Amino acid sequence: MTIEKLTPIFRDVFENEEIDINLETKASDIEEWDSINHIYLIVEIEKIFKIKFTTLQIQKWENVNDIITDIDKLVNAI
Amino acid sequence: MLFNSLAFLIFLVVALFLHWIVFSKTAKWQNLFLLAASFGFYSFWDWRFLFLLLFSISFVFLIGIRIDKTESEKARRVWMIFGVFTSIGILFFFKYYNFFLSSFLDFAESFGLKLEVRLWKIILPIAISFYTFHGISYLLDIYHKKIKSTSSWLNYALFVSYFPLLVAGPIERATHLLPQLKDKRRLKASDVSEGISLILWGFFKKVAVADSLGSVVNLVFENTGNYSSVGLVLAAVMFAVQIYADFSGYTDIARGVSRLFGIELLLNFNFPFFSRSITEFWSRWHISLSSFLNDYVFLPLALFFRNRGKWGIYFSIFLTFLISGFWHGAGWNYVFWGVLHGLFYLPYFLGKGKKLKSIYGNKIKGGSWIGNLLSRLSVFGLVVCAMIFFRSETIQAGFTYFGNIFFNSKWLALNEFIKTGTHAVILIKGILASLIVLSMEYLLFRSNSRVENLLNSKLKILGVLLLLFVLGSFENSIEFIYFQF
Repeated sequence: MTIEKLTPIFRDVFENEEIDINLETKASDIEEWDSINHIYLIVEIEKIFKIKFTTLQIQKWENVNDIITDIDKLVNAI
Repeated sequence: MLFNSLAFLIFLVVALFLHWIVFSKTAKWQNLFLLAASFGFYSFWDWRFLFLLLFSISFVFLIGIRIDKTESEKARRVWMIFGVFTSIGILFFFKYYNFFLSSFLDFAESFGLKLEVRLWKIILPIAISFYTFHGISYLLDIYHKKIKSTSSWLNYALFVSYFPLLVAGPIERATHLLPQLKDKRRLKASDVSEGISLILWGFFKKVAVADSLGSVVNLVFENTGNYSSVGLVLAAVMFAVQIYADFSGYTDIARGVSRLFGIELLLNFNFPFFSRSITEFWSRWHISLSSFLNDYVFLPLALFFRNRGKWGIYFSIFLTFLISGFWHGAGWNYVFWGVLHGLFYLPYFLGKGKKLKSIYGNKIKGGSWIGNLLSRLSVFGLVVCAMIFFRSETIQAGFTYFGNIFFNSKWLALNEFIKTGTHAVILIKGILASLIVLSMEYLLFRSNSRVENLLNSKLKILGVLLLLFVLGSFENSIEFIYFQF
C-alpha cells in the first residue's frame, strides 16, 4: 500500500485537488479534515479497499502512516 | 472561593510560596502539596462532597489499572463499561434525578395522572460534571490503548482535582496533563510573565466586560416586555459577548494561575466569534468540551452508523449536541439549546452532494471580504439565537423573548437603557470594554505581529491594569456562569 493510492481518496473526499499528503500528515494539517469528513474518509477507504476497520484501530490513528499500516494489515488478511 | 475574590488571591500567594519554596524538592512533594491545596480549595466550596470526589478518583484510578492489566478484549470492554457507566450513574443521580422525575410527573399530570412521588433534596456537588468527564476520558483513553494507566494515585488525583481546572475546566486529557506531573517543575520567567498577563486579561474580560454587560442583560431578561425590539436584540448580543467574556475570562485566569505553578492547561477558546461556519465555531468555542464530545460521543456513534449514509452521520451529530445540552444543565432550555445547534447542521446534510456549500458550510476558504463578513455575521446570529434559550429559564421564556422581538409595539426606544439610571454608566463601560476585547482579539486572530509584540511585552500588564482600574465595575461582581455546571 502506498501513499499514491491514498492521495486521490483524500482529494476526492475533501474536494480539494491541491491536497498533498505524506506519512506524517495529521488531521490538523488539512483544513478540510474535520470530524465529519473524517467519517466520510473512513467510509471511502473501506469501500475502495473492501475492508472494515475496527473502532479500536480508528481510535488509535494519529497520522496517515497509522491509516496505511491498518489498511495493509486488513488487505493482507483477506 | 471565587477566582475574583480576595480570599483566592491570599490562597494563591500562600500556595505559590509553599509550592516553590517549601515543597520544591521533588516532583512528588510538589504534587502532594498541589493536591492538598486543591482539596483545601474544594473544601472551601463544600467539604461534604470531598468524600464523593475522593471516591470518584479512587474508583476510576483502580478501574483504569484493571482495564490495562486485562488481556481479553471482552473483559477489558466489561471493565470499561462498568467504570464509565458507574461514573455517569453518579453524575446522573446528583444532577438529573430530580429533573427527570419532576419532568415525568409533570408529563403524567398533563394526562390527568397525579402520582404521589416524593422528590429528594439533592444538592449538586460543585465540579461534578467536570471531574466525571476527566475520569471518563481517562478510562476511554486506556481502553483505546492511547495511554497506559498511571500507577501513581497521587498524580491521577491531581490530574482530576488540580484546583485551577477543578471547578469549570478546561476539561484536560491525561495525555496532556499527566506527563507534566512526572518531573520536578522549575520556576521560569516566561511562565511568570505569561501567567500574570493571562490572569490580568482574564480579569479584564470578567470584571469589565462580563460583569458590566451582565447586570444590564439580567435586567432585560427579567422584564422582556418592557423593551423594544432593537433593545431585546441588543441584549441578546450582549449576553453572547457576556458569556464569552465570562467563560473565556475564567479560562484565561485558570490557565494563567496554572502557568504560575509551571503547568500548561489546554486552550479552551480560539476567537470563536470570527468563525465562518458552525463547524468552525465548534472548533473554537469551549474546545476542551467540544473535543471531548467529538472523541468520546460523536466519533463512536458516527462509526457505528457509518454505513447508514449521511443521515447516520447527522443523527450522530444531533445526539452529540443533545448530550451537550444535557451536560450544561438539568433544564429543558439547555436541551433545546443543544437541539438548535444540532439543527444548525441540517442544511449541511440537505445539500445535493455529501456536503453543503452554503454560507455556513466549511468550504469558503479565501472568499471575498464581503462573503466572509456575511458568513461571520450569520454564524454569530445563529449562535445568539440559540443563546437566548441558554439564558432564558425555560423554553417558553425563550420563545416569549423571540415573540417580544418580532411582535413588539415599539421597535426602537433608545432611552430604555438610560432610564435604568446607574445601569446606563455600567452599560457604556461594558460596551467600551467589549469593543476593546473584541478588536484586540480580531487583530490577534489576523496575526497582526505589531499587536502580538505589544501584547507580549510588559506594556500589556500595565495596560490591562489601567483598563481594569478605569473600566472595571467591581461593585457588580457576578459568579462565573460555568461554575453552576
